Amino acid sequence: MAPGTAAQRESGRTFRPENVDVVIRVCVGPGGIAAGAMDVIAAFEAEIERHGLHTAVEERPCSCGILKVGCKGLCARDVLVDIMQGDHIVTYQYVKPAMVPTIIEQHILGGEPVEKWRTDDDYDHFHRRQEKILLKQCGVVDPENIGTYFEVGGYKGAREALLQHTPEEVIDIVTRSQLRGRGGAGFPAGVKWAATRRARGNLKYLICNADEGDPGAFMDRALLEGSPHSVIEGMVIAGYAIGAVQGYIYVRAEYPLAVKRLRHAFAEAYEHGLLGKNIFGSGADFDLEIRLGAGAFVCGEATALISSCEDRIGTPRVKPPRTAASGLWGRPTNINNVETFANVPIIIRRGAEWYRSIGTEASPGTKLFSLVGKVKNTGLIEVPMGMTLREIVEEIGGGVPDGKTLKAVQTGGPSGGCIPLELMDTPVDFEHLQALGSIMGSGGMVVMDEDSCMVDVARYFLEFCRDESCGQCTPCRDGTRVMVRLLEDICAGRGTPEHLERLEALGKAMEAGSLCGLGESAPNPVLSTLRYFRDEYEAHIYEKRCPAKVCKELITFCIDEEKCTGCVVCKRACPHEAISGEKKQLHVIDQDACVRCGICLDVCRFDAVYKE
Amino acid sequence: MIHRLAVNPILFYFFTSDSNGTGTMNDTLQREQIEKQVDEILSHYTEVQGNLISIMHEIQTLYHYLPKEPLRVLADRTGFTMQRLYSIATFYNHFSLEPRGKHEVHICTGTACHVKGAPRLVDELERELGIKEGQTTEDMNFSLHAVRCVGACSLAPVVLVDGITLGGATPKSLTKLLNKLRKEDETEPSGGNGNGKQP
Repeated sequence: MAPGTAAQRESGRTFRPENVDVVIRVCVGPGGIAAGAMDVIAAFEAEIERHGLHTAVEERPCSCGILKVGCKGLCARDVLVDIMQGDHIVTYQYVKPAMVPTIIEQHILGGEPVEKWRTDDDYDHFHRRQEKILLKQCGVVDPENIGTYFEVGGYKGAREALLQHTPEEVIDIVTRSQLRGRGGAGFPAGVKWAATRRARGNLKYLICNADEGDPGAFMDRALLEGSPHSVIEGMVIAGYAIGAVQGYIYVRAEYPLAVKRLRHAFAEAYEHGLLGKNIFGSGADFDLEIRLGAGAFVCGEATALISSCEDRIGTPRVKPPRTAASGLWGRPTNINNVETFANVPIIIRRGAEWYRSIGTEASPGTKLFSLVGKVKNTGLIEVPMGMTLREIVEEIGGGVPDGKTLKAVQTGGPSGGCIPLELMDTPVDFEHLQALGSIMGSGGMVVMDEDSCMVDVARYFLEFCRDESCGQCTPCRDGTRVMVRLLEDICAGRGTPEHLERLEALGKAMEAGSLCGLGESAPNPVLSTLRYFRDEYEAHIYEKRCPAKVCKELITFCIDEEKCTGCVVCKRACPHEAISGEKKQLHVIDQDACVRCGICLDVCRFDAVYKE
Repeated sequence: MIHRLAVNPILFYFFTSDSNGTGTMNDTLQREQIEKQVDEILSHYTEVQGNLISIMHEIQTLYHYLPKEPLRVLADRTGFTMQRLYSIATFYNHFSLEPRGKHEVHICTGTACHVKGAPRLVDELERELGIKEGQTTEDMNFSLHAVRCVGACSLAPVVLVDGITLGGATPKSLTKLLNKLRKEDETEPSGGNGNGKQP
């Protein structure tokens, strides 16, 4: 039974897939929209209109409906479109508006799928090893239509929790499931909830941390934009369990679509009595509001986030007291990540034992990762905890493209580290990653190949932390600054052996002396690359050479005499007029004028330009 | 952000007016009109407490940046001090106290974009527009910002132009796009500096 009365369920459905013969499912996740999903939808609508396919007519018993769904995973192939006729699904990739008339005419009207535009084996490989629990709904429900969420069992978990369990029982189920916080640290959610429930005070708050600031991560965005109701449902359950009647979702301002879809979802939930007073007649009340971030990475830290919710700048404070004792406006506050909340309804519905059967013993369940960087199948994936990095990168990701070699995988964003090729068989869970000097983090997974310079990557992350440090405590504010300067020296060929010693000493001091997680973990990218890629640092220092040929000061662009045909393409393309040579004659790069932008390398059709 | 202005930024901020120097606030925007606009924004909220950042977002959306006058009105209406508003406006990257160009170009410099060549895009656009990252062209046509991850990592490197995502960007595709925008502006000239533009 879906929650709410039959009439309520009815009104939630503006579109009923079972009433049409063909459902056209278009991905409107972050990747889909960026690739032009809205234009594709407009094209489908226009074609449906043109052929009169809204309703079936006698001579052509075929009607179509468009269903907008959240992230389908393989964003690299967006826009992804499923044509569903009953149980038969055909998926098209890289769909452009211009392809739509052919798909409609040849496939939907003619019954012949357009083979050349269908997804290939990669698409199957990408999905084969995944275990989709959270994402199952994401590519199926319309994020702006609560009816489609009811159809996949939505709000059943909340109904069960509020009507059949006491708050203590709910906490017990979540504790037994060993669900660990998905925001990065992996603290057991049930333990956190119990602490907030026990805390003194009648007024308690529940906050969902949707300030996904890690560069290279978009799991929370995909969930909020793809299935906002699963997060809301998780929060309703958590609110009931800890005794909070007011909740907030703190969303970063960079995700306007997530905010829009959440607001829409709130309105739908209120309309169906799933938020507000006396939910399901259980007597429990719960209200939800959105709090907007404004572009500050540090606000992902719980106390900084609370400070931001209180109309102040996002500076963390010393703990204890923990937020469970004194959080928002000094009241007991429970903060969990988007993904953590999305797990809760499923755990309630299917039980703690079932949940523990997935993943590893210490880290049960699945984890979402955004698999990006130098990997063939970039996208959003969900795998059981404990899968090895190699399986993720090689089998799901399809390996590194263009015949290059894998060098490292970066996990955990600016707080994480780089894991080298030799350790690719490490199972991915909280403990194993930490042992390697990285962290699970929120789930960004950036693949790097031989063309990525690890010193440059370390500098990149330290620059990020320097810019995002709130400036409150000295180890972080000044430590990141000095570290960036040292790394800049090394990248520019001014490094000495002493630089490495200072980096290590500073890193340890920052870990020990910083006030919050940002400063404590900021040295991780440097320390982990120093641990696994020391030879690259040493090449920069002793040989004044960048092995990956990235650091501008240490490379030169040259033209191969044998290969150059004198086509003047590079000469014309060079923005700094550094290339000389007449037509059909060898071209030469003036090293003094060259700024090493690499444009000549891109435009040369004869592979004559190379880096040294 | 705080160290953007060389000397004593707070004093600089309070003792200069918007109408001199940058010439940003339209003179016809009278205080009364501003009051009306701010009151309209405030009417969206049942309580101010806890919503200050959202309110400032709305003000920035309306004026395209945070001019001083509306902030003064906001301070008067809500009882927050100008210092508090200033601290928020400078702490959070999303807010700008300086006017921004008609077209906003955001280059994503998230990790995935970085390893796929975002730094080169920054260099190229800086050269193409003749400004540094964080600046606005003199004709107020383009602002260039490097941002940290827009969450479209699978399409890296990504550039947002006026909020529209361009995936797999190259120096060439960007130059093309800028030229297209310039051409469009030439054919339909629409009042210069972009104040009051809704993104």
